[in-house]
Amino acid sequence: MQQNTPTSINRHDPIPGVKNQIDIQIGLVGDAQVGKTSLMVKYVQNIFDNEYTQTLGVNFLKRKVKLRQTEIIFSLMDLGGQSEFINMLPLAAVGSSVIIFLFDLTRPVTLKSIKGWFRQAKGLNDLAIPILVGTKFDLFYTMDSQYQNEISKVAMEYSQVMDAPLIFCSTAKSIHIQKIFKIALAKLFNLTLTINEINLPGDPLLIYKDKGNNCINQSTNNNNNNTNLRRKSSHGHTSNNNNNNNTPIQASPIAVRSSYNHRHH
Amino acid sequence: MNFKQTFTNIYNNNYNKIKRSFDNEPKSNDCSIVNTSNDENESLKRRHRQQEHITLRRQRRSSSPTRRNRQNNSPFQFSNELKSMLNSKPTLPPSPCSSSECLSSICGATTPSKKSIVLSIDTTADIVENIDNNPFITPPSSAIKINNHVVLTPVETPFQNRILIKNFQSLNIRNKHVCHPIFEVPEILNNIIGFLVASEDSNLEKRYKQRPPESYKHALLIYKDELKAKEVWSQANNQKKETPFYNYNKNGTLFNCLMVNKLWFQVTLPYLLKNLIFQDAFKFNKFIATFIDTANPKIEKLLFNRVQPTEAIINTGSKTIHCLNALVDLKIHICPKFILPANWFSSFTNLQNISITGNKVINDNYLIKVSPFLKNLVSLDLRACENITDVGVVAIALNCKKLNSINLGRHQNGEKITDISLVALGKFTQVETVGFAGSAITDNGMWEFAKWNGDNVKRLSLNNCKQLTDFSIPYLLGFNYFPSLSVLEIRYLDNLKDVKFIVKFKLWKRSQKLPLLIESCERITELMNKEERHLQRYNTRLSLMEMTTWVNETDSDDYTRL
Repeated sequence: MQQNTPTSINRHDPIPGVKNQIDIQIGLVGDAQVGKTSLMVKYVQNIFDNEYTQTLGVNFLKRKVKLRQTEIIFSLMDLGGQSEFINMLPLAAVGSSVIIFLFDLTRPVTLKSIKGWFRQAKGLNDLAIPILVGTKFDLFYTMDSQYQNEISKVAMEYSQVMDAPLIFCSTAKSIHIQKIFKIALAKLFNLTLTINEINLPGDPLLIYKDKGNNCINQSTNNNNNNTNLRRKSSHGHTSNNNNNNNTPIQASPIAVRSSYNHRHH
Repeated sequence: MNFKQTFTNIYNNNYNKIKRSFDNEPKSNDCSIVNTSNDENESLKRRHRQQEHITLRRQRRSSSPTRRNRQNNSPFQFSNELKSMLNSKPTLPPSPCSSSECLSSICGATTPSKKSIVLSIDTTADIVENIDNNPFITPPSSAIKINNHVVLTPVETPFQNRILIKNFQSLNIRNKHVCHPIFEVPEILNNIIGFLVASEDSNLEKRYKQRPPESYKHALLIYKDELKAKEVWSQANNQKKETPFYNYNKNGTLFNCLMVNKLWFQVTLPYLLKNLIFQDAFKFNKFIATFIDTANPKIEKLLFNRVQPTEAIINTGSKTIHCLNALVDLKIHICPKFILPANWFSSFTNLQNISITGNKVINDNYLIKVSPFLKNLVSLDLRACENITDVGVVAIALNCKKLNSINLGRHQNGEKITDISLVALGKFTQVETVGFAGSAITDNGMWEFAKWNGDNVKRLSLNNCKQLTDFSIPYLLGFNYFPSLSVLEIRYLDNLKDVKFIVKFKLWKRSQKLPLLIESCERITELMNKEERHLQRYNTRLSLMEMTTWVNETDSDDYTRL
């Protein structure tokens, strides 16, 4: 946490209080053409472009949110989805406090490959908070309800196993873009969220309660600086709470594979 | 820097030679100009030796009969020669671009043709010939070696082939006994020596050093790291043994330059005479008596260090003052009973820095007499001069408009310096560095001072000002009365209890990445650390609350059933 303030004040005015500056690095991973770059550009610049541009390597954008006493900087790292960029995964995963896994709601195969992405990212950075995001909800909405129900159900189970909040969004129609990053921040600092969950199949899902909390939920003192920063520190630093509250599913990514392989075939 | 290296090589070479010749003779321990001036016989003997050596060296190059005769001269005749040499100023040609003419004037006596030496990278055949004709500068053997960069061209086209030397490495002396002609050009030599003096001076400049901590615990409070604290604490213990004053290295670079040859001696001497250190007044008297007629020294920096109480300056009147009227720096350190006559100051029009520390003689009357002449005074250091009171300080404040830094710190008679001094300085000057350690200033005085001059203040030393309370410094900082403050010393302010604003100010400066050093005693450091932790915890809590509110706000892109 850094501190930052306006530089000049009028003569003999009271000096301003010091602002807290919070820097959060977020990695975006997922298959090619699921809309990682679109999501990032939409969130930072509020622009949506229908044209597809392939990301070569890694994209990087920053967004600053100014509150009264606090300044939050979201640094977004977007990794190219093509398999040749897999060796750049550390760029997006290592050092990120939150990793967003994206899949295309209209292409079940992209959801399936989340397993691979999750396993690899987890191996690089064990402490980052995962968030599962389904994109292109505007297209998904027009598809038949049978398919919608099926995908929603599977996605919910994935998020259960990953212990990750699940959010369906649309960059084209501007649905739940802000929420993704707010939930990321809230999970990171263990803030109390009062937003209503949306968990009816067919609606853009927004499920976050009981997900991604296990790392901190034992420490009740959420004002303690150290607790908050533990999440942000590198993966070599393990928190004590992890050992006490470990679920077997979360510990082994292999479990993810074994439990879902038969469902899709 | 190649050039500097080469240059260093050259005089080291010469110095070693001289040293070798010295080794056969009884050694003299002290070689500083300070002693030189006082022990004339000794110095002349030494110079005789040196001269002898130079002559020996020259002999190899020139067969001039006069030079050979000199070798047989008695030391007394030499002293005459020395005096005449000192009288004649080094011949510096008027403009730097005439170096070619200058070179030719050196070799002019023996060069028959109308040619001049131009520094260049080219080579031509006839050059070697010309150098042959000029045994004074370079013997033929070395000419071939160095002809890569020395060229003779006709005077008619002086600028045609003139290329500055690019590769300074080539200036090295190949032949041990001959130095490169470039070192025979007085103006170039003058520049070299001037550069040397400037670089030595810049090494001497004091940088602001953080004061050593009082105890290990204090160090721990400051650095918040055990290793670092231990290191600093052990360093602080060792430092106490060091002597605080710098003495000129008696075998220093400049002194070595004196001994290279006659020209070097002539060029170097005025530089050496600009900056003098005396440890007793008799030596100063003797120095003036010796040098006033011969060298005409223009002293710029004068330092008296630990002069004994029994000594005094013999007032030789206008002669002495004539030597001193270019004075810029005057320092009298730890000389309790020694001071320059007040009436001398009327001719010290360039005086910028005065530092008279630990002096019992200097008083208000002295300052009142002196201050009207100190129009250019920039820095005044009167640490531990306990006889000075408000009266003297007001006199200074009224007369010295350019005053930039003043130090009145003391351990005794603190009650003699009050708000009157502080306010006078604030009103009439634009001081940036203010030292009032151990004085009787109060909150009222601080407020008044800050109102007048707070914008300029950069360094503020208020150690031991027991009357200052929570109502001045913390609030003045909190309301940004000292926007450019970078050093604040607040050790042992017993009545300072609330440091909240000081910490806020510190954090604010830090967030702007502006340097700010707050020197405080153990008690205040502890208070400040506690306050800083408290403030940070408070800020964190505030941030978390703000973020919670923000996260729960509704957004424009929230889903409403389509």
